[in-house]
Amino acid sequence: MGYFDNFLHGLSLVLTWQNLGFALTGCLLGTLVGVLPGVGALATVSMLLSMVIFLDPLPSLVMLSAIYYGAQYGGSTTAILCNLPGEATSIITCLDGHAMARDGRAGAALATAALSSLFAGIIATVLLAVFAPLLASFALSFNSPEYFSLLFFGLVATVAFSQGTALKAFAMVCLGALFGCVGSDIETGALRFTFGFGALSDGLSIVAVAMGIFGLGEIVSSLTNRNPQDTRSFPIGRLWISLDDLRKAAPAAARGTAVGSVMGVLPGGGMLLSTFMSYMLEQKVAKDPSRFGKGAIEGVAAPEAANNAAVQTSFIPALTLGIPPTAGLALLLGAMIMQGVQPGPLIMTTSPDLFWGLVASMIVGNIMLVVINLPMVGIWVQLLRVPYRMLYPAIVVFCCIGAYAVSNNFADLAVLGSFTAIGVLFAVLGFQPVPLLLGFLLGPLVEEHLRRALVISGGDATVFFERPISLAILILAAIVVISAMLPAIRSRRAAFSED
Amino acid sequence: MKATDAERRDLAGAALLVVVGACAIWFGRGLRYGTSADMGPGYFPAMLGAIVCAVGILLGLATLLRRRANEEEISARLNWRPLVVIAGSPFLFGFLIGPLGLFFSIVIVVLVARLAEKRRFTWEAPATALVLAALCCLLFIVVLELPLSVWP
Repeated sequence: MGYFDNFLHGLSLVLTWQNLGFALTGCLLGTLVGVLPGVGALATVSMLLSMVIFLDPLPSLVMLSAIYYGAQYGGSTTAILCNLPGEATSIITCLDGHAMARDGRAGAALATAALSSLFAGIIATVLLAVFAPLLASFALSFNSPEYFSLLFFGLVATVAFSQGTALKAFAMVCLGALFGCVGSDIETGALRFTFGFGALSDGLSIVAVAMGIFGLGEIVSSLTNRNPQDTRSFPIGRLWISLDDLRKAAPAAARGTAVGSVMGVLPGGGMLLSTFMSYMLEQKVAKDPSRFGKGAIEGVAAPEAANNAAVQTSFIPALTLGIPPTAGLALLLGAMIMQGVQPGPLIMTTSPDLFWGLVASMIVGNIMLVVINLPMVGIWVQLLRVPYRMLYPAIVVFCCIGAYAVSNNFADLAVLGSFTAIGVLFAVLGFQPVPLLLGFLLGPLVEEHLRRALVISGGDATVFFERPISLAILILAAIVVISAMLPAIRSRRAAFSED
Repeated sequence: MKATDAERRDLAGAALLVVVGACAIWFGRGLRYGTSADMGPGYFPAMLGAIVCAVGILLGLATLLRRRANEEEISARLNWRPLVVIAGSPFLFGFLIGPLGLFFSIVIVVLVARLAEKRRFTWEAPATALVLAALCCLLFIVVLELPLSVWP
């Protein structure tokens, strides 16, 4: 069967009332949390994780992934109209998007952001459909040494690309992996760090840990660092792009898509970095770089295309290798595993319906998002008026019920509360929470493959360098580390984080 | 020379890492380590514990020797009130859900969660709590059919 037949098959699976309904719900929720600055996509996905286990795999994945890419659309709306980045990935959009809004061209900026995202989303989804099967068949020959090297690459890149000091991020990854050790050992069944609590023998609940760090942890930091925000919105104006704007924006969107597609596949949070990189690229290729920051339409089109492309292509390594490039995808894979679908190279043969259904749903979802976002933009901005004091108790309650619902266990609630405190305390000490969560989710996999690889080689660690694919991955990891340490990139990133 | 806030913060972080790493090694001491060709359940945690300890020491030394210019590094401020209230909410919910059922548990958790902010009591708080409790019961019990009891 060709790609097109597969895609049509996937489309036929998605175009049922039920799955369309879940896609729409996901898109609406994604836009909503993208618009609201205090609530992130990670927190939302972790809250819903506990509920989707009652659904079938396809609808739940369709919904969760729609939240994930929908948040990118919503985040740009508030970035442009109110200079508030709803998500971290729309920080760059604030620069020129908000400048355009101040000039009375908010409508053009919004339309550019949405259409660039749509363009990038569709192109990147096509890339996903083409490259995922190729990578999967390539990865069939992978064994534990290759998987260990890939995981190592992923974690190294997470450390290299994370905000703040690399040493601290490294400590967080190891600490997360340490928390991942709690429960019974996969090979011998020996209980580790359960301290006599039977409820911990299955390990710390992923849902509870993620909701603690991101759901409740975000509330604590919002309540601590809140300054009265100016949520005054600029008038939207006409939602239309002139031919002149289109001529400038279209190539920028194409370049942004290219940057984002490549960065998304790279492990370790390529999404945020792709927006920075595409913006720098636009400044480089522009005839008059001084326009940037003062309402250059390319400065909206390129990063918006980049972040959406990166979201879609990050599904390639996640689905075919089982190695999530970002914390959000790690949670998505967690949802799949909870439902008995094992991500990895066999996913194409064991659950083709799920893969092609998901691919088709991304095309449908991206189109839905443009429809949701453009004509209804005024409604979303109104939502910023919902006071936070009414919003956060609702999130607290949702997290509590979500953690409890998985197995009706007090221990999960205790984990939720404890990890809220752990996440906040480490954040206060200057440690980032995302590497902690990735270490927690990937740690058990790292251990499993490390142990298996060393059993095969008889304890000889050179096995990772002797196998060609494994060696190639490790060299790639070294390149990433070195390039992240280059002073030019470091100082550029420092400059951006000050803005 | 007086230690700056950033330095004190990093020293506290370093100390915390050393303590956590040491705890991991200490509480994992009963697990079989095995050899690298045949790792036991204790090998990987002990390795991680040692790494966390080592990073903590490294971070502490780097701070003391003033090797790092991290004064501008972003970190959150600490405010105990929201931290204690929000992190305590799940525990409270856990104690209440058994004896009181979903509806009253939600009402109480919402009212307590409002204490995370310093503001005067208004009728808005109980109103929010009641509406939220009703909506949650509808969503989780009627729509999603979770096996929870609504009333005591």
